[in-house]
Amino acid sequence: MDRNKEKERKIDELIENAGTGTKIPVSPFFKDRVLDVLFTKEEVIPTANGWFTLQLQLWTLGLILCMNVLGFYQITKMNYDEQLDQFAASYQWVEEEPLSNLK
Amino acid sequence: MSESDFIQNLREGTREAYAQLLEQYQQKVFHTSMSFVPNKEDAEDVAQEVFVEVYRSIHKFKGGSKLSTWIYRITVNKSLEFLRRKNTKKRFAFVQSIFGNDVPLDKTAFFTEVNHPGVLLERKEDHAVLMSAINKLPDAQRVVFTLHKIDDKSYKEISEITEKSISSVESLMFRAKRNLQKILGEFYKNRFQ
Repeated sequence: MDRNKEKERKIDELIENAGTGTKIPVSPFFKDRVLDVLFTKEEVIPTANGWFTLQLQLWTLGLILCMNVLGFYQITKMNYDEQLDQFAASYQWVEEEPLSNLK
Repeated sequence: MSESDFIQNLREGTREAYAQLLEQYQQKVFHTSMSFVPNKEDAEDVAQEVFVEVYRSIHKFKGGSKLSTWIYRITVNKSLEFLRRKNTKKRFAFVQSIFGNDVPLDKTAFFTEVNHPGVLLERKEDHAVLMSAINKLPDAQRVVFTLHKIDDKSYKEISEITEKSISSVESLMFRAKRNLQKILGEFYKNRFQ
């Protein structure tokens, strides 16, 4: 019984004296810190190529990849003789019949 | 300078106006946030968030209440937001610990370190127990109890801050005390047997 009363007294005391009664001072640099947060403009770091946006970079990369694939396809499509003909024709070494026909 | 002139200066966003605002309110805002978040560093972070919010939202302030009441309202909301964030982090750490990940589990009774410099050493444990019990109250009861008992605000001030009638505040206070008695009764059951 006494223990119960003691418990209730302790709880009531805890609830009634919840406040600390002491005012804790805010840190002396708080004001300056907050003013700095409010008034320091975000530094925008200028990029060397401002116009070359990320989207543009991705498009360029895609284009280069496409050209590579296309070029690789063209290279594998042609055979050696055709290439040789083309080369000879471009230097006008063959006028009447293709060099490959000489074989 | 009248309050409306001061608010106009704040809306214009001059450094001088905010320096004056901080001069006037930093201690009050800090004291209120310290009542909810009993840890100096955390309370200062909350107080900083309050002033940033004032800076961002001053154009929305219609003057329906006093500037101080509006700032206290922001302080209460920011403090509760902070505590919710902390609680979520703690729950996440608990789940992680179940699955064996190496996130250290915060085993403190409260969701943040209770380290109120104004609490005497011999009362520190009791204070931590009380804060833990307050954390278990519903938000409305928690706000009213904390503002009245810890932050020493009158029922009238609390009714303005919470936008509730004085009788509602009284009723919430009564329920908060009753719930705290239950929670603390459970806690001290073993100790007083």
